[in-house]
Amino acid sequence: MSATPAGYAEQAYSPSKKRSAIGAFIFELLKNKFLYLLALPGMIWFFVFAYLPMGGIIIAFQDFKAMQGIAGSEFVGLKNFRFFFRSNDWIQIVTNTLFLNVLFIVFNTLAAVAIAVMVTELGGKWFKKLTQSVMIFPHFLSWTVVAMFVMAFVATDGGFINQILSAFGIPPVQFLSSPEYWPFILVLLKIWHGAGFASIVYMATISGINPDIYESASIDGASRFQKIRFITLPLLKPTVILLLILAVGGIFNGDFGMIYAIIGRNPPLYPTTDVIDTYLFRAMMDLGDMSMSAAIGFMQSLIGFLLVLSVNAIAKKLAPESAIF
Amino acid sequence: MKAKKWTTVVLSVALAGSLAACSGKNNETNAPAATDGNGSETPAAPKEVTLTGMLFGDAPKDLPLVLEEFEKRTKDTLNTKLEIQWNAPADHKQKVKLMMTAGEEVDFVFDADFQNLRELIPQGAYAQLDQYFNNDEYPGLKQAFSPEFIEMNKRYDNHLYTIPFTQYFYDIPVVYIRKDLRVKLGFAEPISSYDELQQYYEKVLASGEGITPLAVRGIGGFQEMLAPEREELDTVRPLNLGGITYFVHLSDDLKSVQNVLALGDPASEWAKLPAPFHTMKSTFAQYDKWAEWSKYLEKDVLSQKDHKAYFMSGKAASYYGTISSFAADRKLLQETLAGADLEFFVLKERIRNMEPKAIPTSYKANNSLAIPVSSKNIDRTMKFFDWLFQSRENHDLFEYGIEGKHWEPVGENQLKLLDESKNYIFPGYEFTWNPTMIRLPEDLEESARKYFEYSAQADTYYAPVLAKFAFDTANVKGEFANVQSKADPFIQTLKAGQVKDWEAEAVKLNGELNNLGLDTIRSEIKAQVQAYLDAGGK
Repeated sequence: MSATPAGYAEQAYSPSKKRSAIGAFIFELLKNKFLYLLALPGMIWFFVFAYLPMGGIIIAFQDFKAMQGIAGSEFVGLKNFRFFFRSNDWIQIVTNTLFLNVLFIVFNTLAAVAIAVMVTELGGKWFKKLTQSVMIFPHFLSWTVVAMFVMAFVATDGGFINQILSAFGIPPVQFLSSPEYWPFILVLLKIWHGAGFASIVYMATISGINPDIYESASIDGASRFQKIRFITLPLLKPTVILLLILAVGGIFNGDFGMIYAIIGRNPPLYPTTDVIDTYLFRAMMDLGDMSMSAAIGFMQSLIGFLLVLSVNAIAKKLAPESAIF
Repeated sequence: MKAKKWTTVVLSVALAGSLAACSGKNNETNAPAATDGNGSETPAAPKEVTLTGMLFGDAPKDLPLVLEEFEKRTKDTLNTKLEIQWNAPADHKQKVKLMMTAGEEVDFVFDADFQNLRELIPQGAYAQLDQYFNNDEYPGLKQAFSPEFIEMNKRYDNHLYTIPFTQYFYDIPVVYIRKDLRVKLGFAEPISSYDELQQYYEKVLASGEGITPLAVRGIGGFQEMLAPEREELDTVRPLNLGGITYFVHLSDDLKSVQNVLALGDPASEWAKLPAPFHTMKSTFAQYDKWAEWSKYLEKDVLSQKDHKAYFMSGKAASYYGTISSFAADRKLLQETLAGADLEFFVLKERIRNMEPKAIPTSYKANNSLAIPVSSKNIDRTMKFFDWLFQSRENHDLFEYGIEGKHWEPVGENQLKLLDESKNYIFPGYEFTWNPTMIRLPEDLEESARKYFEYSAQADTYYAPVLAKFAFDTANVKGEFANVQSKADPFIQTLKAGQVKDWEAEAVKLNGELNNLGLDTIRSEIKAQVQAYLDAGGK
């Protein structure tokens, strides 16, 4: 007898399950309506400026003509992608892009973590604040301004470095026509420019670590170095991995603002500094074709997206708590 | 999952809808514009109209005053108000393109070959303006735009789509020289030949003060310097496309294309051309000179982004430029370096001697306005420009501002800028420039004035064969992009005189370019030039 009502209940349960799922969603919305309201402007922003324009990807597969619009332009399949791969230059350019970006990501992260750890270990509130500000400041200089500093340093005639070299009787180095120095110079600049700013996130994470942990470690006789090694760094790991995953998404995008401002159009340096974006700029100078530029941009984003997925998958295996999704 | 699908569907419908709406609006606005274009206006008291337009740059501060004065003067004749949107220079190109895509209404936009003109005209964005010029109903336009000027600014289908603006048809290339330094190094007279220029440079080097003899821009190099002085040949016409110079070889009757040559082609092909184009060495005689003269450039020349600033800081004895900036540059130099003075050496001999018919030109204006087909006020817009060019008085109001406040006329064709002129700096090249309405500053140096007057004379110019031909890249976009990106580093290095054995290098590059589609471009040029000739083009 008792089976019947249970069975009945079971039967009744499954159709109502769907209703309750929607119901639960509405209930959740109503319950936290103010929180969702708070998030709404941001969500609308993303929808309008990040999701809606994605429809524009279609012009990468079209021979886009402004007057015909997206609806009227001819569909040409993968034709817009072809020009990029026809010359063998793309291998060099893609290699440069990846190589420079990997260097940037690795060294910037290392420097940022090091800065964060060191600044938090500093005593003296005033000194700490000052150090921090000085290190963050370069982030607010535009690359165009930085480029002028760089020229003053590396110029062959009267450059700062060459003046020092000549004071020691060393012949001048022609930095501006020697591509081999530039990955090093660019990485150095990138660290100087961005590591201080990037360290803010890590400092915030460190200040979020429960001080009790440090305290008990001190009671157990841990040295300062041991505390960094066994407490700070392991607790920073999820943040580091998270930011790495995000950075990998842009690994196929050359930093045009930086490289074009500093290198400009200086052919002798192309072998190590020409990245996808600067190459594209030169190729499209006279054509200004939207479809071809969109095709390459789309390819960069797509590969970046796939890389994010795979790095995330790896992170999920190795350190599940730091994967994004 | 389902919800996601639905949002996608809704999204795409919304997108498609908005696009359809755009194109729909476009069609709608087309129809009345077309009828409007043919209808005639009653001359007395037309109804008030506001013309909206897009230019780029900063709006002159006193523009409202000028517009007020304009409206006061023309209340009973034009009854027109102007509303100009000033775009940031970097955005203007994209904004105009988007505006045309969206079919938004606007009555005039600045557009030029370096903007969207080449793309938007074939796509049908702009109205044909032929009927307004050389038409007695528009006397101002008739008087300011000669039939040849209009003829040469017509495009692909032999129609005019722009109101072309220019003062001169060529900006004379010069080398600007530090006059004080020249005198100091023992040259009593101004430099008047390349030989003297070279002697001057040698003296600068020998002086051991670390001054660079010649400053040029990294991406420009020597440009027009040391170019061979020779008569133009009707049968061999240079064509500059994407940084590469092609030579189009025409038959003697100028009716058919024989061949199209590019730098690095085999000697056997060059041999078929008449002298002096029968070898690469003689065709590009300046390249050896550039390599030789590269010792006068700074060591890091390829990375020089602002050679003028380099010169102004006193680090160079001369720099490459064009004559139009003489007055401003001289002022800048005198303000920057005490005791310094500027003079110039005109590069080309025939221009230096101010000979008639010395400058080949296509008479194409670099700058122009276009009127979108979607405008409902095409006639009224053209009436405005007709008014603008009817008299110096009207024209000068927009170009220089209010007389007595911003400027004062001096004689027939000079002016004196008053202190308030800093509040009214109008970009004439976007709106008002015309060869018949030039005023030179009264304090301009005599030597420069002569060359400005020379370049304003119609007799200075002539149109060579193929002057009007314009290449359309639409069919060879991929090849064009590949060839340009590959050739650009070499061309740039060559122009800065950094390639000694340029013949061998050029042959090597030519081989690589052929794999990237140089031949496709070549045959496209051939076909397009032939079609141009067949259609009666000269």
